[in-house]
Amino acid sequence: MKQKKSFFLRVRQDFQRHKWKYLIIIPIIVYFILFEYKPMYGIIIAFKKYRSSLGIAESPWVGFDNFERFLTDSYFWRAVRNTFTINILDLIFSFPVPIFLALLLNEVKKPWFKKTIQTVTYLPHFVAAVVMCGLIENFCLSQGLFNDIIVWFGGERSNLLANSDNYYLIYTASDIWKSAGWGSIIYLAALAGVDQEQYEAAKIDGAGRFKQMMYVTLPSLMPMISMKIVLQLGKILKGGGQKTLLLYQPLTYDVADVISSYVYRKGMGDGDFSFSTAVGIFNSVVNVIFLLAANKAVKKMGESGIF
Amino acid sequence: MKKLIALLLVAIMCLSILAGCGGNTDDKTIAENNETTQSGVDSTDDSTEESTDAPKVEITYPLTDASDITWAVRDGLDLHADYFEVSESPFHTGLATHTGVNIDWQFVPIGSSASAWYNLLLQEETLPTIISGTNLNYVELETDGLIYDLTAYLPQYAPDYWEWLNSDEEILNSVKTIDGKILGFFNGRAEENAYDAGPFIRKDWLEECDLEIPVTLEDWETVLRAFKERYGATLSMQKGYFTTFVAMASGTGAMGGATIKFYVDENGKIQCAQLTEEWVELVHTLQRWYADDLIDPDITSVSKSKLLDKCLEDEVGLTFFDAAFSSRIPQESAMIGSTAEWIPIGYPVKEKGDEVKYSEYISKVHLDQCTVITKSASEEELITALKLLNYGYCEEGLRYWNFGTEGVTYTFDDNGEEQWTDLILNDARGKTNAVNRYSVLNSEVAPSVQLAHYAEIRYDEITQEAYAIWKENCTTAQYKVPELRYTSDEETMLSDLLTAIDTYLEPMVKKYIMGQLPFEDAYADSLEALGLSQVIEIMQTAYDRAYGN
Repeated sequence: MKQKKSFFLRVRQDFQRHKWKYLIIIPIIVYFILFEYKPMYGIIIAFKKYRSSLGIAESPWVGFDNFERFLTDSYFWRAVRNTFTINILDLIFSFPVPIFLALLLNEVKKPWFKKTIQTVTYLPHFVAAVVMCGLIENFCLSQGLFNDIIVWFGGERSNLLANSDNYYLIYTASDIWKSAGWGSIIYLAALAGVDQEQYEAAKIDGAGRFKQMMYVTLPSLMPMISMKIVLQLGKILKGGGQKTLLLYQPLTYDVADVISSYVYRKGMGDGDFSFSTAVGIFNSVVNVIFLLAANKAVKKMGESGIF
Repeated sequence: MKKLIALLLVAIMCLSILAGCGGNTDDKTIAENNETTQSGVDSTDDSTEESTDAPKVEITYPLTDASDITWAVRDGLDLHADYFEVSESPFHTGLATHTGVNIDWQFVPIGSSASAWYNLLLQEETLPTIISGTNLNYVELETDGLIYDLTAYLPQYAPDYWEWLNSDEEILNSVKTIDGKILGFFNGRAEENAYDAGPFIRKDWLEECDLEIPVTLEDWETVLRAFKERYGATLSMQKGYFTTFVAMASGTGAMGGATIKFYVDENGKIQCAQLTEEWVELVHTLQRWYADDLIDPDITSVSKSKLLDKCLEDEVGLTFFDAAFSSRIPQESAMIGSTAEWIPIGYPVKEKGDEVKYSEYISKVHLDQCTVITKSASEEELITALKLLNYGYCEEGLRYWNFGTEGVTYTFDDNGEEQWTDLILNDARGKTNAVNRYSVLNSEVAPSVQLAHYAEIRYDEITQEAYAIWKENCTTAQYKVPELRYTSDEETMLSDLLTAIDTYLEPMVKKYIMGQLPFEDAYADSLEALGLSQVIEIMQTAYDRAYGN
């Protein structure tokens, strides 16, 4: 009966053999400990009334007061609903676009055409959100570009951003415009690694281009797609934030007001860190629940989850 | 030989590194010490009673025996964009010279966020002697024992400031905390400069349409219809002004707009503007105007620059703007070769001769901004700091903060009034830039008072004319709810309730005006359900506390 070597002995031996790999990873571990784990201690301010002059330790405890403040608020749940909505819409409409783009680009034979399309679609990613929203706001005005297009199709002019009916369309469409090109990069990279022999085998079996896409290309992308879906669902209550603040207005509060923007208005008094931390905890808890559930579901379907 | 040269070079390089390790003497300004001494330092006793009988202490500047002071600025008193060092700035160096105090200034580093910097500053062992800025949370700081309660020291060491505070009951009562303490030096503004925004109209169009300058809200409608028919132009203004209805409500008795607003009635009771009949009437009127295309459909999105563009492109005939518009628009019109003529007009009223009870009014004293003295200051430093900050309220200091240095930036004319010198008037970058470099009074952080005369000579004639027109018949000061002080719990509750109330009210009103939804007749009940009475109760308590009956 061979006795298993102790854990520490094994680690030491491994270290001696791969010394440099360990050394290289140490700064990264230190970074995570210092900047991601150690600050977690600060979460306790959600249960306190934090005052900068007193510091974290000395600030008084208030228990669940901060949580009560937003859980019993009349408009908070509407904000939660709106956050869900924009993220789900994002998942349904914005998520597939980079995949289609990658699949289509993969079929393009002429390299110059492929490169031009790639560059043109990447560029919006580099446009700052603030600039993009400024442009959108301008185009949505009654004399703006979008209205010119609407009139050309026989419609009437109006301030598009001032109407709740248009909000989700504008929000999601601008998201697609901005992120589709950049998002397709990772899929194209995955596609480049597909075994060419599989395509030949498919062709021999009589598959046309479309069937090849369905049975060879798409399945090879599935691990990447499922991983990204899980990650996306782990952000279900995140975000909105900057873009919302730039695009929304009182007229569209009923659909546009998300958690971050509502909390921002509520905590206008500079420095209510305790309150925003409490909301942050709420968001994180919901996000983690979704993340775990999505991961499990995806694994059940046979794909690789993220853990 | 080579080794020697190498060693020598290394030695020289080391020395040059050490040369950079100087003290931060460039940030200190050396004061000139003159002969005059301070008088009456020990004579009066420091009591908190407002003894108007006791002879006022006189402090003469520049001070002698002044301690060195560190002054941290969160915002408002920063160096002008043209300067990188304090020694370059005429305002900051001048202040040190005139007061006779060595000031070591500390500013927020470029690129840092002011609130992050401020929070870190508070964690330090030794705080700077003086801190100025917005949102300092000074009430909390005092409770936590970080800053001095100045009340007892003011009559003796800051007599001019004390005199100013006592000159107006409203100022004194606003400034005092709930416990009656005065925690810092606050900025004030002369009443004459309170109205600095108002309506503007296209004069040349009025003439072409053969119409008189509109006075009542009905006149406004007539004019708007004429403008619409003839030029396709509308009423427009920045979204902030539209939200408060400040342009239209003014003299009609409606005391607020699309966000919840309160006013004080003749009996000292706080009332809600949205619960009045006049307000409902105004909302219906605006809806009618919008339906007839008299109001710009972009009005809820329009920014200042976009609005200016619309004005220049003849899309707007009637608007609401700040005083700077009156000097800016002629310049810009000339640049594009337009013959448009804009003039400021009075706020609209219901019947001719009515008072304007609600307008764009800037308070006499600002409570969000403050200059405080921290407990890190020793007894001597405290006294010096008090006297230093008092400077802005004494006659000489008022002139310094408002106009700069006599003989350099201003001189007295035959009427004994201050006028700018050529240095300011002929400055390469324009008068405004020059004034901003030499005086800092356009900031609400400044521990001083903006004099009426400041506005008179700061802005040109057209703007001053605007000020005068908007002031006419304005009794806004009587009805405006003064700045009130709340306890920490009251504040939290107030902010929660008000956010919820506004989240309901603003969309409801605006959607009705823009024709998207019908008017909710039972809106008063909805407001009630969201806690409106509670809000009024809290405000009333605070009001009675300060101005108690």
